Amino acid sequence: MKALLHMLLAVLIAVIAIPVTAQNQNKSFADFGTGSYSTYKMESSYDYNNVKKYKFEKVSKQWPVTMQQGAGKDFEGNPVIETVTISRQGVIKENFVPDIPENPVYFGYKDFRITVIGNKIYQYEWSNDNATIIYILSKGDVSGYESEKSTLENHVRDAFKNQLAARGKLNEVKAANAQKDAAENTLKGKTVKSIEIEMVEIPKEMGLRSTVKFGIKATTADGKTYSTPNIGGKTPWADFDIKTTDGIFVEEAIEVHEDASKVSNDELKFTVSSKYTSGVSAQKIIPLTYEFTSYTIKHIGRYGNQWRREVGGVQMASRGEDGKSLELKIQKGLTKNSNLPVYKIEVIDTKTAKVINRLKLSQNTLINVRVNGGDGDKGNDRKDRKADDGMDGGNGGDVIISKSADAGNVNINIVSTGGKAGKGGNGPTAFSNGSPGRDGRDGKITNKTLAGGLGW
Amino acid sequence: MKRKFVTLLLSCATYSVSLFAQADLAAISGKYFAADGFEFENAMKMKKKQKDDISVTFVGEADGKIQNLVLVKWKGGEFKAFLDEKLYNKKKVVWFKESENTLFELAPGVFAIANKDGSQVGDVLAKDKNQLKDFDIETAKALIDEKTSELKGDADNAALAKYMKFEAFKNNLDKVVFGDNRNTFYNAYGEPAEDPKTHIKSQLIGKPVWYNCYSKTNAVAKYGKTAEINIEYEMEGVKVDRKSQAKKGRNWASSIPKIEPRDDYKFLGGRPVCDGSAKSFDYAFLALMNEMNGKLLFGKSYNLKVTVYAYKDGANVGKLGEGVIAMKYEPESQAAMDLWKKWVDEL
Repeated sequence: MKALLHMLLAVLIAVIAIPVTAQNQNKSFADFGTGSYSTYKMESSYDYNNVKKYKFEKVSKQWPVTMQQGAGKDFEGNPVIETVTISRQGVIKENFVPDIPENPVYFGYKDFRITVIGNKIYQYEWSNDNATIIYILSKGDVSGYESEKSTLENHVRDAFKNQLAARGKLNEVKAANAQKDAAENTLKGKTVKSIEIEMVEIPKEMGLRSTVKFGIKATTADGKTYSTPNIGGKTPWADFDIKTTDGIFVEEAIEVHEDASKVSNDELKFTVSSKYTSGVSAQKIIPLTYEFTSYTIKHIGRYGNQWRREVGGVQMASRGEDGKSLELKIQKGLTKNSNLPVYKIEVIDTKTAKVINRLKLSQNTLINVRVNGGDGDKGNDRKDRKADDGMDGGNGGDVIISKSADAGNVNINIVSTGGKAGKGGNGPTAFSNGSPGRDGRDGKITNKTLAGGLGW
Repeated sequence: MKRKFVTLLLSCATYSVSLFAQADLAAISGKYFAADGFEFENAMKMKKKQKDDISVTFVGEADGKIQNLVLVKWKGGEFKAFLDEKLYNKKKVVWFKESENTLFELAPGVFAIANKDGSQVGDVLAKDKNQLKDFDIETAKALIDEKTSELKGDADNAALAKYMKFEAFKNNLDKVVFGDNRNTFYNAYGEPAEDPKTHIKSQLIGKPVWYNCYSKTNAVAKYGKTAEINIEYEMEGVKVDRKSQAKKGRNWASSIPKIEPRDDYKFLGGRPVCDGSAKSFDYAFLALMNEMNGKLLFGKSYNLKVTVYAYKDGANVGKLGEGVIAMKYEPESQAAMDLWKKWVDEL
């Protein structure tokens, strides 16, 4: 008898442990079929203990369900269902489409989803791995809300696990298609006869850090043309070698260096060649005018509140950072090939004597120099004692303008104001507030004559 | 002169037609039944619900002035709401609005009592009681949703058309674009109005990098409000994405919070990859740089590919945009790399 009981218990456990088999929804909907079905609406109310209770109430009308099958097949060979249409109360039609047609877990319309389990269509919202059932369309009766919710959630979670494999398979199919596409469009194994550079975008102001966008068209020996994706083709950029010393090639574009000493002839020159056919190339040269309306050299100090760090559970206030002190060595010059007048400017961090940048700018360009000090942080509030004082503002950076004698009036605008003082923190009384910090001093501006030229 | 007079007459006639076009709304007036009922206090001061004999009166004109309003009266009170004339004239949608109470016409003789944006329906009124069986509250809500989606779709198309007038957006559709400071995107007041000249294609590792994604897909409209945004960073074949990285532990999860999609075609003010002065970092990027620490060579540039995905049900469901920036590795980059490594090791 005891053995029989054990056996029965084992069978019961086994039955409970069997996971809900998540059937393919293309098949499930097809099996469910079109027609009009009894519909149960979820109603919620609060009981005497203010606990929300849910129940299903049958609506007066049967709701029509129609389906539209597509020509394709899913991973199991079932016809793909493209749309399931539910006519709500016969008044409004809602079209649900599959999440992944080859292996759907649900059909969705806006944030609503429908899934078939047995002889019921569940319409629900899914959020944070939980379902909120809104309607059930059923060929029979429905159980209590919690029971139906549990059935649905177990089914959907199980189906998502199964779908991972399908997603993997789908990715494999996509990768195979991409590989096929790549094989058709690559220049590998083809003889390139000529290459053309097609300019997509050349900025009006060409100078340091300007970006030019271009595409490449290659013609093979059989007369076919192959283009990069940005000009309508499918040939990968990796099939070409793009060479330049005047900038950096990054995805469909070349950005001119920001250091003028690295730009060899005041022009952007680049060459494009096929990786697989030697001796075929194209070259483009774009002169640099360095003509900008304005150019900003910015080395401002950080605000105290940008440095805030928690130390031992207390937010520590900080003073504003000083603006960087700079020397700008300015010399008149001409561009190498086109003889346009420019200023050559060397920007030096006077504290470290290190060259930060070498610029070339048109003589019409307004040069903005921003070396303001950062504002000081507000002192910490205290509830039990005098509050902390506000922090000092950072000092403005000092700027030395060293101009060559022939430089003339350079259009330059320097802002080197000191940072504002931080306010004192708030204490328990008006008498125990912290004192404000001090304003940072403004930076000094010194004009000098540049002795000797710039060595670049 | 005669021609001018005729034109004037014609324009007066057109104006009158548009002025009195709402005259056909007079049929709205009548007695209505409510699905749930309007609350009132009876003589015993008990709260009851009135389900029939609710009076709805359309007032087209009064005291020589155009009113175009409805007056709803029941035992417990009354309220009035004004016709959204723009909506009615453009789309023939009948929607009376006033503060939180609005009346939306679902069908002739049937109205939903909805909140201001139609996202909630409190009750349904119908002249014919039988119609309340068809137009229950959920159906009323679905009908309003359908109409507001259609109107929103029009607004979305208009928004996209407007964005397409901006060079920065038009020339970078489905791309991720980069800037060297927050203000590149932040100062554009919600529009892709920045000068494309301020976009950068390279940056020194350790210096600020911000980005925006200009997509022709509105992720909320296409994937619903339950979708999220996932961002993948790739350098030298090593990939790190936010959603996978956030699953690596509690500290990672709190450092890489969920990004909800905006009902838009871009991020509002751009997003940071890294910016020391603004103290803004994407920890998924820091995790990638931690992987790259010790593998980079001074003086070389490394392409960083940033891909923005819509993410739903545990997987990326659609690519919204991608872009590449060259990250230059110089000796001064190492301090930032070491600091990031320290932060990552602490998680």
